[in-house]
Amino acid sequence: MVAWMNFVLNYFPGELIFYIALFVVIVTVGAIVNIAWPGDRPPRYLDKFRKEAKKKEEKKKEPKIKKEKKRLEKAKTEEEVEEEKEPETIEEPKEIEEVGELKEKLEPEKQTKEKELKEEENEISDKPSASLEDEDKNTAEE
Amino acid sequence: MGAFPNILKGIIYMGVYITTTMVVPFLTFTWIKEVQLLGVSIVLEQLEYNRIVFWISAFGLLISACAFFNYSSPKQSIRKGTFALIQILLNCLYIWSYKFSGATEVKFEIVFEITNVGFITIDVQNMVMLYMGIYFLTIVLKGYDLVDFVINRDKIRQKRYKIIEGDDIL
Repeated sequence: MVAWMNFVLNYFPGELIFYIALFVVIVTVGAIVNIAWPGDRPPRYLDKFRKEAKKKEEKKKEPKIKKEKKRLEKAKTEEEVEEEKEPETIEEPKEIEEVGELKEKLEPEKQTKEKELKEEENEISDKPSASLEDEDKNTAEE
Repeated sequence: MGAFPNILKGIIYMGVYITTTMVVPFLTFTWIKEVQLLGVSIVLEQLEYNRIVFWISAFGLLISACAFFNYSSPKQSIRKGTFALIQILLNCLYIWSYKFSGATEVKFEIVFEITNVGFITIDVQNMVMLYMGIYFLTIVLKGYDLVDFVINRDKIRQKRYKIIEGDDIL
């Protein structure tokens, strides 16, 4: 504890002017340093690093925000589409009703047509047999 | 604290240290240089007196300058820790300067009407050694503080600036 002091004191100059000058220098430097960096706000040279860090954080956050926005937009568009579709589904019964009415209207016509067709078929089916009989008769007469 | 309060605090502490390390010892040694007790003058040797005053002034100036730097720095800053440690080391040297300059063994001449009657010596070496022990513990403490400030630099800064930002918001 004592040895180092004896060693150090050998190198201390013996002129008072040196100590006065050192006093002035330390006080001046202390004043300048503490005015420049009082410690109540981050030092200016750190602002660059801070800004860069903020930008990086924002960049990291941006994709997430974009994704969320896209999701919201998608959700909105889907909702809009659903809202648009909903009136169509309401209209559908009308069409069905119209179709049903038309069917009802057309059904007797269809039935009549079917009947006519059946009759025609029957007629056609009867005719060949008659014609064949006639031909047989003709051949026999000859 | 802002810049001006910091500087003011530094100046106040510098004044305190100038008073305690320079003015009071200087006045004391000047006073005891020529003391008269019951008409008997007790004279301090001139050579010793000059040496003591020189070293008191030298280390007193350095200690006061470091005290200004130390107390004007923001709390828990590295520069505060550094200068606090330097100040304690200079205090050790200052106390030790009492010893090697001869102030711990002050020798007085008892002079009675021209004739030299005898000598009185005051030995305060043990007191100085006691102080050195206290200062040694303080050096350890300040060293620990400095290491703590360096290691936890980011945490201290974050805490300090967050508090200030909070104040601004309020």
